[in-house]
Amino acid sequence: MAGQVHPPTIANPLYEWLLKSGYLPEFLRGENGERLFQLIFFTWLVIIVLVVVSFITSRTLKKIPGRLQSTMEIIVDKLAGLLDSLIGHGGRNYLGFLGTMFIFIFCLNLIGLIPGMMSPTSNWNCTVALAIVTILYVQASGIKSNGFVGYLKHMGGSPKGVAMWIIVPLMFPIHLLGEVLKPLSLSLRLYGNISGEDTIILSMVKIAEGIKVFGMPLIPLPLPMMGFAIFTSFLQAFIFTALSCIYIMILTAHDDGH
Amino acid sequence: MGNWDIAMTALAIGIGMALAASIGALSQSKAIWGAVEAIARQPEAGGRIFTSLIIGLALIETLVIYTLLVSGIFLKGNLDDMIKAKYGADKVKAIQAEDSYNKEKGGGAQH
Repeated sequence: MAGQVHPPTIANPLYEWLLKSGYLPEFLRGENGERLFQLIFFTWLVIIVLVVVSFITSRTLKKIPGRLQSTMEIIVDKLAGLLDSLIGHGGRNYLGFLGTMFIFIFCLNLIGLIPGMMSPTSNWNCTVALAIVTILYVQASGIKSNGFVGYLKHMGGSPKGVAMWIIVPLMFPIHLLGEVLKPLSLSLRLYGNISGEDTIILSMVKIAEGIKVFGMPLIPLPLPMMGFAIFTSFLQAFIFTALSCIYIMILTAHDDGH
Repeated sequence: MGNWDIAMTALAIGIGMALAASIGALSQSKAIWGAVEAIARQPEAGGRIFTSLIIGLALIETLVIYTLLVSGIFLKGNLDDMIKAKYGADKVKAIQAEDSYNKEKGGGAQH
């Protein structure tokens, strides 16, 4: 998108080497190739780090846990409690996907604050992918819980009397449009917040570099904004997960009330 | 008039963002007022009310973020295109190269 400055990261030397030696795939050679390569590189970095930490934790599970296992147990327990309170009685079944999304998005947001690295979620491509996968999971869990006919009935407005059966052709496109707009709003919220934080930190750097002592800036102006960015990263990951839980709760609401 | 398009686009960017941020802040203040009063009335329901408050605030914040995206990226892209068409692309590049941030970072990745 026009007008945004992208500072170099640690993936840039790797991109230059790949470009020179010709190992680069076709779709990464254009004018946006550098940004897309940074995105893929840092996503893979987060995936590898999270997988290694989880593997090390789960390989030796003890009855009296050490520090690493206790930390992981606290995180999983709090996430399970959140899902139970938001979805209802069957919330813990969705812990595998939604808990992973929360931790993954939180780490993706945080990695941009480390000098020399870029958040993959500050690019709209990454957040659209996350949102589409989440919404497909929500639809699938709705179909699995209510059956395909129940899912279609819910899309038609769950008609109960003659009057509601008549306006089904009106309610169906409205609900369908709502379902299609959900990934758009989820992705734009995450993208706007994280890239907005990056823009604000960049503006703080531009302001602070006017006052220089011995060639180094005097006032570290971006530091409070980076502290606020940690809070925003956590909050946006939490909002993504909480809204997915609410969508699941709406779709899997049983009519017979059990 | 000469600079009408450029001036009105710049004005739209500024006024749109200011309106969205101020009305968004007012709405969020109403939400926080309701939530804090509810917690004061019934402190043991504090966790549940706090969760609802955070979700509500994020939904209001989303609309402000929509305005930021539209005015900061879409309208600003239009503004940049209009300025490039009016003054010529090479003069714009010369002005951007003088910007101290780009000079230090070695000419960044400006689009």
